[in-house]
Amino acid sequence: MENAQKSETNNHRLLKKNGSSSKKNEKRGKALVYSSAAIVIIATLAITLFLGYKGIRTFFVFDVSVWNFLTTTDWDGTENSGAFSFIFGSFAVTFLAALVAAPLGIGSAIFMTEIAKKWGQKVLQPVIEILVGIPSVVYGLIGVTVIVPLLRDNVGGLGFSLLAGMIVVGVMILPTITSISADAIKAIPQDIKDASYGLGATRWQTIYKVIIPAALPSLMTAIVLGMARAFGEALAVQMVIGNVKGLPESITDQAATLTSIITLDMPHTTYGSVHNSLLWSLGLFLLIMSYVFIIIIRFVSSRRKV
Amino acid sequence: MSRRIINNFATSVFILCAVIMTATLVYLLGYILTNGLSNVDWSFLTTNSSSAMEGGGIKNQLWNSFYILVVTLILSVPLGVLGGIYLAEYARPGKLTNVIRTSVEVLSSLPSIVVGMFGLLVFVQYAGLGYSIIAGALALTVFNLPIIVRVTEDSIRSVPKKQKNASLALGITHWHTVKTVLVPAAFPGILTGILLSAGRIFGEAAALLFTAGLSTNNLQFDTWNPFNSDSPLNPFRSAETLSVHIWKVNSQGIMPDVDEIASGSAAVLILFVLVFNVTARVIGNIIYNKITGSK
Amino acid sequence: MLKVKKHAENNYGESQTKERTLDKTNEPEFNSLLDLRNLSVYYGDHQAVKNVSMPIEKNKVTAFIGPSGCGKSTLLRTINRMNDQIPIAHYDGEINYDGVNILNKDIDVVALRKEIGMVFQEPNPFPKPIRKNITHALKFMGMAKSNMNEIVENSLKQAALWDEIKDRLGDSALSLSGGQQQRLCIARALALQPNVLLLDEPTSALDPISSAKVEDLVMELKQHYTIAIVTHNMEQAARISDNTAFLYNGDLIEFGNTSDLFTNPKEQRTEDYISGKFS
Repeated sequence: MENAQKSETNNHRLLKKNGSSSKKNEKRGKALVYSSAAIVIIATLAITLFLGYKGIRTFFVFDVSVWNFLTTTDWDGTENSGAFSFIFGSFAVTFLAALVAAPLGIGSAIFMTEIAKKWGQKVLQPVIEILVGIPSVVYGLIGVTVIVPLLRDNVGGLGFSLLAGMIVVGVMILPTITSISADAIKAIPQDIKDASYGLGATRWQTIYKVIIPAALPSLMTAIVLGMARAFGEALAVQMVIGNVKGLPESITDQAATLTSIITLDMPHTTYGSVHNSLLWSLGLFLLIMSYVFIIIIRFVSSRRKV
Repeated sequence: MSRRIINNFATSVFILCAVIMTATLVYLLGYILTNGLSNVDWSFLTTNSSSAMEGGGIKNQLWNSFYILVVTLILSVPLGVLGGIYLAEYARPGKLTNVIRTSVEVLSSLPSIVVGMFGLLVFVQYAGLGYSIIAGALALTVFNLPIIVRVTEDSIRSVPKKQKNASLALGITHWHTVKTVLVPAAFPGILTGILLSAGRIFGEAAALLFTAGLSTNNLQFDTWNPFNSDSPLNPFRSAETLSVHIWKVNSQGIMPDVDEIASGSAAVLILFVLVFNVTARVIGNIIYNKITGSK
Repeated sequence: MLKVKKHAENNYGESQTKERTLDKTNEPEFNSLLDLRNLSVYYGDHQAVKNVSMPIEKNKVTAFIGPSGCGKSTLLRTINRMNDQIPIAHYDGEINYDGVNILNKDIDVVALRKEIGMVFQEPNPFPKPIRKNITHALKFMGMAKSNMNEIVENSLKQAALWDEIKDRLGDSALSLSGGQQQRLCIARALALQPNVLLLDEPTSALDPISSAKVEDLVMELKQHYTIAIVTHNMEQAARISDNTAFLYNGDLIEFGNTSDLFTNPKEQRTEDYISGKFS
């Protein structure tokens, strides 16, 4: 019948034909998908190359010494400018914020996943995920209106300080660290935990001996991701840190970071000037650091067990 | 016995952590909303901002935020979804795929100020777009692209393999299978991701400082010709968004009611971000239930 | 050694075969539609199917049995090139079908799969209305809408599902029972009027009653279609197939008429397997 006829008339119907509509359809789809993938690569390359070019230019066109730039603290917009106080400021804010957020975040994640599971997953988890999405200017504004006056009244000084930066950024990365840590702990197979409880271990012993070691690489990833976010944060920090160009002597002193100085100085410099070029070098430093964070995250998560 | 004491002590520490965190975050949201919403009324939302005098509103800023959001989504969603399809369906393990994965990772971890600098150089200066909606949207596209790529890849990968097999075994091409089976099944996940990313775009400020600019023309909401410089639709005019407004008012504002304007704007900003987040979850659930037929 | 013994069960099928190929007077004893010649399938370095040669006869049911991991599903999935999805899979040997080797690189696998349909172990209807499950592929082929209602009805009737669901074609396919879903998947494949139907353990995810319905359906369908079925259920193979192939560790141990193979196996390993000594 029809089938028999089909097979006798055209023996090569099963061979690929160039004009066939299914082939065209497939080709069009592939073209779209591959060009989008190419755009992702092009965007990354373009950012790296343009920032690299503009950032390195400072050291060739204006003969700024790389060593001088990285180690001195006198920022006056000339060839002799050094960015060390900003580099220090960025790292200080990042590590101090992680110091606040990591224990609180991981502790809360353990609470959510091991102690009050139902409440943790039905209420806390969604709330935290929403808080991850709160814009950083809002954190900055709260810093200015709540934290800075609070510090001014209780600690002394202006209130605008490294300490304020630490608190604001710490609170900002807290939901991020909590949310990723909670996911990591949840991913540990229940039977590993049951085995520990089955041996008569208390909850603390299980958490300390089983859960934390098993989730450690993922918890580290959570902290590093939080730190990467802290390092790159611009406006929230800029609004509370005081932006004083020089090394802070204590945590209650005003300071500045790479991002806060770019934010503030960029509009006031003329395109092509030394000062402007120096800012691009700061930008390049930020870019390099975000590559460094990626490398750290890859290294840490390659040891992941769960 | 000491085992129990340590255990109880540890448990209390964890509870304390959670209490501190929850209290901080609840206080934060509560503070912004209670403090801010008292400054928000209809006229605040519908009058122009004022640079020196009291009583300025946020009409143009709010409009600009939505306009930039829409343009950014128009640019980044198709690209991101196609890129996600590439990674989920077409990428063969190998160097090229690694390069793309690394690119997505790099783009998603770039500080937004760096994206802003790149936008300033390439879109504002080299492409000659000036401080404009379109330059801002392009910068935000760089920022949003990796999020959409990831969300699409994950959603497509979580579609059961048997669905794909069913379609391929019926003599349907791979691309048509992607279009008519995989993407529809992955749609709730993708849509949820898009809405969550919309919340992020809406609140982003640092990347816009150097691309969309800090000022807005006096927009005429009866001039819809996109080439008119006072038209709200003109994509080539500079546009201060709501989040940028909060930052600017706070750091440079000289009007007497700076605090009221900033906190009012922040409350409005947070409300919209919350709306995006909650809608994302609700729509995600509804579509999921509809597709799986469970009610 | 490969002889088809006339048997009550396949007399029926045989007469149908004659009816459909009236022009061929000198019918060979093996009226094969698919001819596997020295077929080997590899996943990377692992050889999953080893040098298998056998026919798949037209308008008969050929069963593939053997312990899990013996390569029977791999073999089946090779026949419509579903294995192409696994990047490390590659082939040796030939499968001749209608004058071409379908393992040839120039074969349009999309066209091939229209003629060689497949039904999977787990029912996999699309999460769409019942009707759309069937029209999905037809639309892609560019069929006119006017013909679709007829095809939907016919294929559902052929799959013995029409009476049960004719009033709710707009409901989600996922609202059907497992057995109904599997018959819908068969109907969906039949709508394309394939020559061959490959069934990969089609009843293993179903309850006994649904399984029996699918088995009855397979017996009906062989009047019009050539069917290859993978099963781990030996009673099922004995009940519904005309020919049986026993695979072990990628090797074809024995192939022949089903009743011969089950009543009088030539190989010790076949006998051990069908008598339940290992599985």
